[in-house]
Amino acid sequence: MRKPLWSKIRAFAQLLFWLLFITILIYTRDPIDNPFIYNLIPKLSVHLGIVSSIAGRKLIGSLYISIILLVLTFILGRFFCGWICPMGITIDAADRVFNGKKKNFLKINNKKINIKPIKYLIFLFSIILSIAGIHIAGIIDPLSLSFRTYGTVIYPYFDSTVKLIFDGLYYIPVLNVITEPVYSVLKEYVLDYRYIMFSGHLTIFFFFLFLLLLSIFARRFWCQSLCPLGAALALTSRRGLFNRKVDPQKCIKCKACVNDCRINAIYNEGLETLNGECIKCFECLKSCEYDAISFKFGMPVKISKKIKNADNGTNGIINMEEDFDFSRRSLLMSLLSSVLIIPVFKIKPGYSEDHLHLIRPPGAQPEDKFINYCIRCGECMKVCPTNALHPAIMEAGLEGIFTPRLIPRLGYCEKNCILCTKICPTDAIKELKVKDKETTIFGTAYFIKDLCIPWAEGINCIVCEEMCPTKTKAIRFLDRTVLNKEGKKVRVKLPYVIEKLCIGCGICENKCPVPGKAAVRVMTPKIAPGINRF
Amino acid sequence: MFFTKKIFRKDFIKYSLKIIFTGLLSYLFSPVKKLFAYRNYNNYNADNKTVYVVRGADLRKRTIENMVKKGFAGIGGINRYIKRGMKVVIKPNIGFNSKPEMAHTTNPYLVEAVAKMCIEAGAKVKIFDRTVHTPQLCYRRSGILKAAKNAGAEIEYIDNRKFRTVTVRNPLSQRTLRVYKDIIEADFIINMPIAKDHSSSTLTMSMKNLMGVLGGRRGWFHLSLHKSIVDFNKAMPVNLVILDALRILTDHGPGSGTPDDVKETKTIVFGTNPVTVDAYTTGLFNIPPERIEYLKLAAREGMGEIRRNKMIIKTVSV
Repeated sequence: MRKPLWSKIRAFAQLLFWLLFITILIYTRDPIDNPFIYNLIPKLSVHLGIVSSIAGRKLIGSLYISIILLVLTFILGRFFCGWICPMGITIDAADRVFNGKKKNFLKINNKKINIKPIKYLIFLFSIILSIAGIHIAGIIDPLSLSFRTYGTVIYPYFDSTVKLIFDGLYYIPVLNVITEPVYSVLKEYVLDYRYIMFSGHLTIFFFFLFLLLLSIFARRFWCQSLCPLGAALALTSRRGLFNRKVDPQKCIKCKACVNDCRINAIYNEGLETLNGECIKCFECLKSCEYDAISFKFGMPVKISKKIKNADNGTNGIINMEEDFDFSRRSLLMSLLSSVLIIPVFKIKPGYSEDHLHLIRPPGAQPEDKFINYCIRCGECMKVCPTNALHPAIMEAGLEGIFTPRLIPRLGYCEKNCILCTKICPTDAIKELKVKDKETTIFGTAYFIKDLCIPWAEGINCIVCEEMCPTKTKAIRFLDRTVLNKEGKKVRVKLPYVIEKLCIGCGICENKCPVPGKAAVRVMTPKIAPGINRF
Repeated sequence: MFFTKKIFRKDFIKYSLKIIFTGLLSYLFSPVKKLFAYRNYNNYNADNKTVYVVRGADLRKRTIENMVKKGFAGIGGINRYIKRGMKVVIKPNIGFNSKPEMAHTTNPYLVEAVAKMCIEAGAKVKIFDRTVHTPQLCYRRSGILKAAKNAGAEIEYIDNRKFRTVTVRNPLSQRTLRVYKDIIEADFIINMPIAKDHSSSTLTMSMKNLMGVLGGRRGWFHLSLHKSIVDFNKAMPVNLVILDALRILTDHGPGSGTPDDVKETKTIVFGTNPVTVDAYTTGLFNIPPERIEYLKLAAREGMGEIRRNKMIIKTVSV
C-alpha cells in the first residue's frame, strides 16, 4: 500500500466515526431495548471512569470498557484521538476554518511556548478535585463534552432549522409534491420527534465554541494542551508499542513533517517523535517525499540526552525537555490552586433553600451523591421523549453545572417511560422498572390558588386532575358551591393535592391552561428521600 | 445586479406582472383552494335513533373480529358505507401511554379489524389521534401502531401545520376550531372511542373523542367543556361511530386507575349518531344520560335522541 494513502484512510475513517457518533446520538431516543451501544461513548473515557469512581467512592461498572481502550492505546498509541474521538474530529474540521495556515505551535513574543504539559496538570487537577467530591471531569472531558454539546446544542439547532425551512415550504403549495416526501423521510430517520430546545443551550454552545476557537493559536490546541483524556492516553502511550520511526539515511531534514504534524509531536528536524503525543494520524507519511517515515511495532527508542541538550534553547525549536518533567514547584502550585478552588465549586444557591427549584430525574441518587456520579454527558436530556430534562447552569451551583434538571413547564415526566434511568452511563440515575417508577418520588405538586382558575374565578377546569397519572390520582377535587366574581352561587370542582400520592412527574404543571407560569407547580419532594411515604 | 440597477417603469411593470402571474399559477394548482372551498356542514342524521350493540363472549382477537363483522352486517353491510377508493379516517383514542388492558385507549384488535374491513372494501385508511402523552410512545404501547401495520393502514403522527380553522355554525361556546386537515378532506370518518370515566365531563365517549383532532391549546376547552364538546360535534362530520366498550374504565379516568377499575363489558356499539351512541353507552356505567351535561345540551340542540326508551336498540351476541 502506498504510504500517503494512510492519511486518506484516516480521514475517511474519521468521517465514518463521526457519522456513527451522530447516528448513535440521533437514535438515543425512544425505543431503547439495550442501552449498551447508546451510552458507550462517555463510557470509553478512562478519565471519567476514574473520577466518577473516586468522587462517588464506588467503583463504577463501566470502568472496564475504558480499561480496554487503555490497553489498546498502549498497543496502538493515541489512535483514539486521531481516528475516533468526536471532539477531535470536530476540532479537525474547525481547524480548517479557524487555522487556515496550519500553524501547529503557540508563539508569544516570538518565542515558542510548550503548551503540552498543561493537560497533565488539568488531569491531575480533575482527580484531586474528585477526592473532594467535585466532579469537574464531566465539564471538561472530551467525550461527555462532545455528546452534551452535540445533543443539546448542535442537534437541536440543526433539527429546528430543518423544521423551520420545511414548515415555511409547506405554505408554498407548488413545491409540496417534492418537499413533503423528503420531509417525512427526514422526520422518520434524521430529525427528532418533537421541537427540541434546551434551556441554557447558549452557555454550552459558547463554551464549545471557545474551545474550537482556540485553534486560532495552534492546530488541535485542545488536544495538544488541555484535554484530560488525552493526558491519560498520552501517559499510557509514552512507552507504547506502535511508534513512528524515521530512517536517518533517507531523511533530508526538510521539516515538512514537523510543519504538517497537527499535534506538533515531531521535533529534532523531523527525526524524533513524542510517542505520547503522536495521535497516529499519518499526516507525516503524506508529507514526506523521501519515504523516510514508517510506523512500526517495537519498544520506543529512548530520547538521548545529547539531542535533548542540542535542542535546548535553539532558535525555533521547542524545548522538549519540559514535555513531562514538572518542576516540584509547579506541581505544588497546581495542588494548592486546586485546593483553593474547592470552595468556589461548593458555593451553591441551593443549600440555602433546599434545592427548591431543582427536580432531578426519577431514580436519581440523593443530591450530594448525584452530583458526584453525574458525568454531565447529557444522555438523559437527549433521550427524554418530552424534552423535560434540561442542563442546569447555576441552579445547582458551579458544582452541579450541566447536570440534568426537570423543568415541568417545558416537559413533563412521561408515564411508563424509564429511558433516562436506562441510559445513564454511571449510577447517577439508578435503573428503574416501570412498576417501581410509579412509586418513585422526585417532586411534589402544590397549588397557587390565586392563579388557579376554579379557586380564583369559580370556573371549572381541573385539567390537572384529568392528567394526573398516579393510580388513584394524587390530585383530586372538592365539589363545592362557591360565589363567583359576579356574586352568583356556582358549583365548582376545586382541585387539591394529596402529597402522600404525588410523585412529581409535573404533567399537571405542563398541561395547566393558565398562561405563563402554571397555577400548579412541582417542587422538590416535601419529604426527605429514602423515607417511604406509601 | 437587479437591485443596484435603476428600474425603469417598463421593467417594473414586467417584473410585477411576472410575480403576479407566478402567484396566480401557484394558487391555481394549490390545495389551498380546497381550504376555501370547505363548507362547514352538519352531517348529523339526527333522525337516526338506531344503535346496534354487539356483545362478545371474550376479548380474544378472533372474537373481536367476528363481533366487528356482525356489527357491520347489522348496520347494513360495510359496502353501504364505504366505497372503493374512499379516503377513510379512523379516529381511535390513543391519548395515553398505557397498555390496552388499562382501558385508556381503544382496543387495538378492534382497530385492526375495522381497518382491515375498510381496506378490504377498497378504501384508503388513515389512523391518527392527537395524544396527551408523547405520540410515539402512545401509539406503540397502546398496540395501535402494530394493529395499523397488520391491517395495512397508514398511521400518522399529528403535524402541527395541518390544522385548519373552521367556523362553527350556531356555536354554544367555540366560534372557531382548529381542525386537522385530514378530517376535513376525508370522505368517511369513523370515530372509534373507548368508553371511560372522565373527571370533568363525567364520561368520555364518541362526542368527547373528537377533541383528539383539534389543534391549539386544548386546555382552554376545559373551561366550558360541555358546551365545547357539543360544538366539536357541530363542526365535524362523523359518518360512523364504533364505540369500544370491550373494557371500560369505571373510575380514576381518563388516564390512570387500578386494575380493579377496569370492567370487562365485552360490548361494541355501532351507530351513525354519536349522541345516541353515547346516550346508550352511559347505561354500561349505570349513569342516566340526563346526568351528563353535554348529552343534555346536544339533545336540546336537536342533535340526537338521548332517551333510552325512544331509541331503537338492536342487540346481537357472538
